Amino acid sequence: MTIALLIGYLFVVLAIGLWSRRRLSNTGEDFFVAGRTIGPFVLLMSLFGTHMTAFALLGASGEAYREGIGVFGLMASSSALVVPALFFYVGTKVWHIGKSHGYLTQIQYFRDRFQADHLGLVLFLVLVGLLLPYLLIGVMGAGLTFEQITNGQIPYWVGSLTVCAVIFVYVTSSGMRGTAMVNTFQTLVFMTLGGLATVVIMSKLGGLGAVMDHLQTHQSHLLVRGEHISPALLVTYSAIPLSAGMFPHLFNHWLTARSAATFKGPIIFYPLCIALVWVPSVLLGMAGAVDFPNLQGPAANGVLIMMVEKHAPGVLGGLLAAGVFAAIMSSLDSQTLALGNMFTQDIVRHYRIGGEVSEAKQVWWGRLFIFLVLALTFGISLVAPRSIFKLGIWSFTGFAGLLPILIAALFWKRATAVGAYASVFTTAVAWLYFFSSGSKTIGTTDIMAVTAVIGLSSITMILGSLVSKPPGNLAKFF
Amino acid sequence: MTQPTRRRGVWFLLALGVLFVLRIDVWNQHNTARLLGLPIGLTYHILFSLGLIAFFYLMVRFAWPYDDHSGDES
Repeated sequence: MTIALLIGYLFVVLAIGLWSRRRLSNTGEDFFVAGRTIGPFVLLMSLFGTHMTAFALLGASGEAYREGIGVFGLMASSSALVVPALFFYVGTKVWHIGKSHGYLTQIQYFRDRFQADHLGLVLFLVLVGLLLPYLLIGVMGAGLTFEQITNGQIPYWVGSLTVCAVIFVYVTSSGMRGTAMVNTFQTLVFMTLGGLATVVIMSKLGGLGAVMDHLQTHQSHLLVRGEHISPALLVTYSAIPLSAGMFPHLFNHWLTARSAATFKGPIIFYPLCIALVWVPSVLLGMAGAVDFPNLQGPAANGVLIMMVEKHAPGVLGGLLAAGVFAAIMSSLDSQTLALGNMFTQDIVRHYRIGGEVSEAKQVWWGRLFIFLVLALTFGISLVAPRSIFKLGIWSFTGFAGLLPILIAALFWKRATAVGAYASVFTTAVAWLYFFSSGSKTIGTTDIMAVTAVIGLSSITMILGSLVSKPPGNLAKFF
Repeated sequence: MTQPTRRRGVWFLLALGVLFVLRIDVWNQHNTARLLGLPIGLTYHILFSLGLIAFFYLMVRFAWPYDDHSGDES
């Protein structure tokens, strides 16, 4: 039953993607940013679905299983505060500049703003390097989830390949338009089914009060933040959601908005979406400690699936499994499209590989790169160690470290290419230092390394800009 | 962007700073009480997140820097 429902779900996703193709015109702008015609509801759903990876469902419930209620304050309420603020101050401005100058990628803007061709290439390499592990985590997560949900009937590689194939078909056939529509559907699916799973499972366990009473007696540490999530960690973890400002896939979605006013709904209702997804995840993770009290290490990340298998078998279990896939695929598709867009615009079109690149040819290149990105990611997913999941937080750290470049480019006339180079270099060095130390925090403190990376990146952006001459094209941007 | 809009944008930026501080609820660090059926430390952050809807509504309403018709900065 579960497998049948999952296959049915994937067919629905394909149908929506292919249905969206009917409005596709064969231009780069339409394929990569949906002709800048997306309205507020689809923008909210696609931004949220893209930003929330499977981690919000599986990883968060695993963290709540280990750490308890503090996970919501640490990861969810920080995003509810930081991300809409980024949309307000950064996203709308990016949209405005993108629309005014016809930009389709971040690199196009940075190259033009700083009058620095090579800076674009450096940033391209860094952004792709940070996004690929993120993509890999999604593909591997899909394979592992498929295997776990079907009790091994569908092996890991078949699950990963299936998800890659489905994404390939609808992203290449209808571009951003189809991706946004599919994301909207998938976001609604995982938001609805998360809530439904919570109600069903909690009632099977005797209700919310009974679960809390049980935890109070047997695992009371889960009901307070206590010592394991200190105020210093709570403060500095807030820097992680700043990564959203530099994600190429969110940048792409910002450019799809029909108008600046389209952002109003997403800004206002983003915190509601966060609550709708994270409250069920945290509650189910904690409830998992009632049913499966001794899960160790990575096994805790499977607690949500285990709860569904135990308390909601059959149709509901299959639907909930579809919800998990919705969360995985709604990020993977946008990331893949963003990479295809970057290779097409920032490499092929910029360097005129194969001569002048017509609108139709842009779409052709985009499809080719989407295929290559997915094929490469799937290939690596077959040999990559599972410890790669730990790279997620480091990917966020790197993107957050690059945000000062975008902030300076948008708001500071004095910002220069030298400052941007210095910022990229500093981010890379600081990132490598903390990554090689193996600790997400600085030394023995609870201060997240990402704060040091952002701080150093900002300082070098400022100093580098102050010792160099600003570009002569400021009137174009201010 | 007009001066009043820009000024309101700065005020809302400062208000975001205040909210950032309010999010760090050290007073709930070890509080085992329950509110609305949930541990108070969780209920606080849920209500905080839902309260942000009102905050961002006010921000969009009073500090929106764009003209809704032309899309240009107002």
